[in-house]
Amino acid sequence: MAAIETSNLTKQYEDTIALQAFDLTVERGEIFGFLGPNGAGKSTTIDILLDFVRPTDGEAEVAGHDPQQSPRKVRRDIGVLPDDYALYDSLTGREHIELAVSLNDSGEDPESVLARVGLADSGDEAVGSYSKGMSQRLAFGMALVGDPAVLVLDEPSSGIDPNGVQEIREMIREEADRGTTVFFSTHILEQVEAVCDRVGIIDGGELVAVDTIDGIRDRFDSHSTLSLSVDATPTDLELTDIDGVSTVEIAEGCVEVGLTDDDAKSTVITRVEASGASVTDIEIEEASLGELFARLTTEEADA
Amino acid sequence: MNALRVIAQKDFKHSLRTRSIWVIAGAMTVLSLSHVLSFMSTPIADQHTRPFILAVAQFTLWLPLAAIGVGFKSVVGERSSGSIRVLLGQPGTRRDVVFGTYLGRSLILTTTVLLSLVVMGVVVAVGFGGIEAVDVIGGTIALLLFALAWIGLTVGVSSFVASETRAIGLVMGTYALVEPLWRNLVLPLFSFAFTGSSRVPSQATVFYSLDEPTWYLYVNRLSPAEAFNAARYYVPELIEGVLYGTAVPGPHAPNVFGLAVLLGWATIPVVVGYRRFESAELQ
Repeated sequence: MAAIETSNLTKQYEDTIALQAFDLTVERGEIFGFLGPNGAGKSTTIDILLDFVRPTDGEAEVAGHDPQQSPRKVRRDIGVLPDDYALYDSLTGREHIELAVSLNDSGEDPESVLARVGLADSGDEAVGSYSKGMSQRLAFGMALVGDPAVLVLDEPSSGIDPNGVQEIREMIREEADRGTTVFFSTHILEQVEAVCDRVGIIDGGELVAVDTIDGIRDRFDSHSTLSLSVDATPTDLELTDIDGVSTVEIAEGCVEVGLTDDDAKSTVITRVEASGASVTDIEIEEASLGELFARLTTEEADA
Repeated sequence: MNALRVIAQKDFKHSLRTRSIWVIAGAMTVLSLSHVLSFMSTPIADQHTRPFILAVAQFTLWLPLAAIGVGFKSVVGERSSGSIRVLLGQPGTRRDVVFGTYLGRSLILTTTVLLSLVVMGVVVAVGFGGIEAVDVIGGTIALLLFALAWIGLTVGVSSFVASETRAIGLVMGTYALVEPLWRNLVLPLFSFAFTGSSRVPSQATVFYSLDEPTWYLYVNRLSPAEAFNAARYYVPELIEGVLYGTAVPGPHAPNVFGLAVLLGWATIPVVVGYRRFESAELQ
């Protein structure tokens, strides 16, 4: 039984399609990144998993339960850090955790949950006085209550500072180490690259690709750039003749070569050296996921 | 059941710490009390043998407004702020949210009404030289039914609609129809339907007046305010009847109907609101 499974999941509003025949499987124990631009359908998918929104067609399951038929069971299996949420200003941090503990009937000590998310000293403060980062950590703490099998995080780093992002990343890893399935959505690539086992890329309500980060690199004909610093500017190299070289740019003291095959780089370096210029520095840049992502989404838009 | 109770507790605690709710409760007490104080020095006070029953009537105008203030954001506010996404991210259902909130807000309104009544009771006891226990118990029961009717309607509307503006509009519109416009607009329409004339029978001073036509005894009690005005006499009479075996003056049927109307306002809108909320998209 998968942690999350959707089949033919479709959500249509009057004149727009938010999700189109969406098939996704997230296995137990993995960290799955759900990547796509804003408005791609990420939140709609999560809203359906939590039964905030009902699909027009198709099915969704969380740990074998249909959210529409057994919302309570699904919400017990899921811990969620939603996007666009609010907390109760007049209640303290501890009271929020206590609320989650009571609803889960899980008997955790609120203090230990507060400590896990770094709010041990702020438990008595009303949440109205919390910073955005503290609120985010508190909401994350509430999601952890009841030891959920699946942790769903919708844009977990929105509106918080880089330190907070780093902390959330560490908490995600910690949870994954405990065997929790983590499903998180983001429009920020670095976050996916930093923690995910697999990535699903969504655009325009359709799943464009699902693979490991490396798999996605390979799939899109990995492309890297070789930058050579040279003491003299070479001419007439005819590097484009070499197999695996796609582009060549020569400027003052610098040769930039686009490679479709990494094995071509030694041939390129040899040829440059042979021209009489000596190479003083070598840099190889692998294609960033950003480029892949741009390609994925623009290809999709063109299709 | 557990989630419902937990949500009710959360709602009660949250409301207890919300200043606007105490401002509303204070205003309700002061405004209702000002009526009592204003007629205390008039001949009405001297003639009236049941001052507490007269005093609770002064809530008729203000308690509904307090209930609306306490309740109109209750459910729709969770939607517009987004706190419902956190709440329903935890094990619980939409039913728990609506009925738990209803329970929580009913408790908070009941608490504020009881506090107001304590103040009112002291003023009446001092100003009129004593009050009857039966009147206090019966009047309090009638007033709490009236309070539940309004909080039920308000939380029901708050569950039904998707925006706070619509919630306040709908519930204030209902207030206008059943209170200020009741005798001038709604009852004449009913009268026309039943008798062919839009002339409304003059208002009875006490509930057991039998001069009115039968249709009027029932239709008039469809307004929670009128049902309450009958109940504040009828309930103490009932209690007295049970305690001392005295005969209850006046007809039972329209007054029992009036109590049922209050319970109807307290429950039916919440059920209707819940059904709509159950099928709503919570985005």
